[in-house]
Amino acid sequence: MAATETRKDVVLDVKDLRTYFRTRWGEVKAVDGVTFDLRKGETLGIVGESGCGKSVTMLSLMRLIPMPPGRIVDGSISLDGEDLLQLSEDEMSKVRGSKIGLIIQDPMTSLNPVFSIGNQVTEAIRIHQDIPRHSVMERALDVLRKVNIPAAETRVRDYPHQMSGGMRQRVVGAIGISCQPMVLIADEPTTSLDVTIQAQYLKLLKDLQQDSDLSLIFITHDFGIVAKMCDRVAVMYAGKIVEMGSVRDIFNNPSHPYTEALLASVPKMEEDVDRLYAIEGQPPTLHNLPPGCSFAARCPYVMDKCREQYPPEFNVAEAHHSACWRLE
Amino acid sequence: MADATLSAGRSRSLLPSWQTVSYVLRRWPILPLFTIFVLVVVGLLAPWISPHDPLSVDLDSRNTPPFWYQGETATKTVVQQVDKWDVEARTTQISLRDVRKDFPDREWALGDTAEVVTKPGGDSDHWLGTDQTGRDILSRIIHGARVSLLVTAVSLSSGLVVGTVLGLVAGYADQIFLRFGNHIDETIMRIVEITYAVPTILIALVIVIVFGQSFVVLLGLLAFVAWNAFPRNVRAEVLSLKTSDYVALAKVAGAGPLRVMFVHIFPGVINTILVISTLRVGQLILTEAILSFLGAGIPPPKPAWGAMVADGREYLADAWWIALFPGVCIFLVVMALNFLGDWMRDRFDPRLRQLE
Amino acid sequence: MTTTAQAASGNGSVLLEAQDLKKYFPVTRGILLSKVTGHIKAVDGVSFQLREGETLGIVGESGCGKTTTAKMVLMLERPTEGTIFFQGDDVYGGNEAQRKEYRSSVQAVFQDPWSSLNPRMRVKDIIAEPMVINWQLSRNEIQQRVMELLNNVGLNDYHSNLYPHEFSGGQRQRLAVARALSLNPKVIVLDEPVSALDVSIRAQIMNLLKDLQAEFGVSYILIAHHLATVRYMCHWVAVMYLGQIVELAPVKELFDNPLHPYTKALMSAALPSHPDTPQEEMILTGEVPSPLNPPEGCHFHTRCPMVMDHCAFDIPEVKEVTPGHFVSCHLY
Repeated sequence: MAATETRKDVVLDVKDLRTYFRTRWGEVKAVDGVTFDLRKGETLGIVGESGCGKSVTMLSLMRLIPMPPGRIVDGSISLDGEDLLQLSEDEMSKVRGSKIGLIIQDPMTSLNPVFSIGNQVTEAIRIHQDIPRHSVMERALDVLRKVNIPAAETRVRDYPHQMSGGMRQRVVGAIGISCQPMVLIADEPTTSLDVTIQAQYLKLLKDLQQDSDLSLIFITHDFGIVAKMCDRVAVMYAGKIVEMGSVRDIFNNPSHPYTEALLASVPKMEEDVDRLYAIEGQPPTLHNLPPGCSFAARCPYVMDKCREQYPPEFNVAEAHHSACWRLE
Repeated sequence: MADATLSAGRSRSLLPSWQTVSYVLRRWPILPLFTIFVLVVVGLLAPWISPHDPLSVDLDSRNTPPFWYQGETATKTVVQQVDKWDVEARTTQISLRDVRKDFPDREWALGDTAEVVTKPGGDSDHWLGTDQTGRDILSRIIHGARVSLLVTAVSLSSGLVVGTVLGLVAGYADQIFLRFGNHIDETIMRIVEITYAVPTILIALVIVIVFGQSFVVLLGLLAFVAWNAFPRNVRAEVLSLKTSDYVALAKVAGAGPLRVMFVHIFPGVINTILVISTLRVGQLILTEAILSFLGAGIPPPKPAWGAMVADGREYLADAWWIALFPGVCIFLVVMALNFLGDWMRDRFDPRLRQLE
Repeated sequence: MTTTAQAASGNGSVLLEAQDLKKYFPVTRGILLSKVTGHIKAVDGVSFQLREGETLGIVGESGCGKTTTAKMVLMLERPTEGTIFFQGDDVYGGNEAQRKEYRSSVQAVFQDPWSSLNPRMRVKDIIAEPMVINWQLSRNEIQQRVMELLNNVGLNDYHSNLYPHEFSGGQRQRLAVARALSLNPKVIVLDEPVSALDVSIRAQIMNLLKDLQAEFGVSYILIAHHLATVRYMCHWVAVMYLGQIVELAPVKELFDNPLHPYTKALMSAALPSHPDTPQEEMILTGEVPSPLNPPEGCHFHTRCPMVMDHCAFDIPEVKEVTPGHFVSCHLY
């Protein structure tokens, strides 16, 4: 009974997603069998280093993978019961923005420099919503006020270069939520912001989420953001989710060596650390993955089996699983 | 069975597929490089490979068509006098006086028939035919390549040196001359902008009228065309390189402005210089051809492609080959250089390189 | 005042001392006959001391002047006012030989490992360059020293013939460190040395820098925005806001007992290392004002949650609250 209750809550259900790229070094499996779900009002963090496939996962969800060279080989992405991979390009462009919103990393490039702020927000609204012309601007002002842009009435006439980085990122956020999407994907939304501005922005996102029961996916490399923002975490390494669980499970009981090492290698502000644990070696290049577990080469607990066969997912606790042979 | 598939596979791999060939041709500038290679080799070896003296006039074999050209003959009846006004008669009859002149080793009588050449054919002595004074076109093209090479090499290298030095100075002046640096930079760039506004060909014509047509004047003019592309691009490159982290670190290590300039900045500019040079060579060859065409270029009788096109202009209807072959050469070489330059720009431009 | 007191509370001897450094960039209008219409006060009276074998962290948000301060220490920018003393000598007042001596004693590692190595030079030439410029060594000696340096930063001899693009970000940062070490410098300025690297590589580089400090006794000036990194790496921390140091203290003292409201705000804005870490909600409103026209009085009063009436016109003095802990705020 309880299980069916939670299933009903699921807004986004991704199963066995595989996105490959054809490069001159051969086929690169940027996302290789990623499965997760997202419930209503929940925040999921996808954590990993550059090249681990977290951004490609995001682009696959939006169906924004450049094809060729990329293609979604397998899997299903069901949003609100509808498989996005089966939709036509026209149908998909209606879903984009209206059901899934996106905030990307660089506020400089995600706004068009030749249109005013008001223009860009109203455009997003007009494409997806069927509201009378005269009330579009009101709706836009509403959204801009929601992201705490002071004096929104005068700011709508500004161009992106007239705003500070924090303000621009707010506008990007406003466009992201303008059509009341069910799912908002934030891809490293604060990396280019200063610490105090980042704090403002994260608080804003949290408030917005509480207001409208939004589901958030946070793509980041920073466990600090995860600790602050997320309910559940998926840790990605070399195109696969290696560990997934609630944020407390992950922080208190990291059961994949990569998660454990990553957490131990981050300096802490609250306490003195004498010496950080440093993960040896480099993140692997995806076109040349070894057989078996991709973390084996850097893993302090590596066993013979790890080099031969990729581990399946083992349950650590309820809703906490990890792909490591040590849990067998 | 296995053998059959194996041999099938092998026989297929003997010849690369059309896709492979076209991919390779698109990815690497093989055809442009080949064209330029031929130009250089031909230019360098001109005196040894040209079949004739490009200057020797032979009025007897003037306007000879290229070798594949079939001549035309007609069977004509010998008559006392051909009626000039009768078209039909002119194609079928020949006067006794003419036939005796053309075929003197035979006795002719009225009513005989004679095989008369109405249009001369080509022969393997002049592969591409001859011009209006009977000079061998192939030889003139070969020697014209040599002249073009010489002219562009001299004018480009002088323009390159001057332009690059000015670009480096303009971009780096504030580091060497400190307070006056900005003024030096401004002055150089304003001069460059002024030269962009100069109508070169018009000026060239005036100069030739005043000083007469000479090789030195032409070289000076072309060097003027060559130099002004360099300062602007080199300066832009220097401006971005001099704020780079590794230049800052070189200064931290104690490197003086000259060391920074020659060890860190100049090597970074070489790619830009190469690209501009390649694109400029094409333009120089074209300008030289235009000037020669207008009679302000290489002084005759030295063979120059542009002048050859000009010479053939009047004979286009009867002897198109005089103008066509040098014209094709100009087209191919300029095109090849432009393709190569574009390819090099894509290849060397650091902003595009990262996309690979 | 600041400097003498800071000296009294430390252990090692003072190596480098910045005294009231100021850097104003003129803002001009017009193209031909341009005239100065104002100054951007990038750095506006900064004093600090750096002791032998210690690390001084300078934290602050973008535009606070930390990078300009670093550039002045590196002699890449000339201070508008104030000076730097190195082992007691005035760096900007001395002669050419003294400046050369200073330059070879102070080296740097920058943030971006992709742009800080000349892409057209081989690794051995990159690392050898400071030695070629400053020392008269034979080819063999230089070669030997390059190998030694490569081993010091955890790379191998065969790396010396490669070009920078053949290395990953972390390895490139190791190369940058090797080059900075080549002259046996006394001070290395680290400008955000790990923030461009992958998370799993950052710890490697931070540990390497700490090990090298222990081995060679070199002092660091670490420019950073990430407080946890500063806590891990530094002995002293200076917090900068709009061109001024608002608080300067030993690292433990600063993190245990932050005094200036801006320092407190920075700490509450920093991301927690665990979801259950208790966090003060102290979110600053607004953004950093323009350094072209900073607020009167205390520069921070426009955003300060504890602002008092006289903050708007009284410039706060630097006070030593506890030994070695300096703060410039009217609250104390």
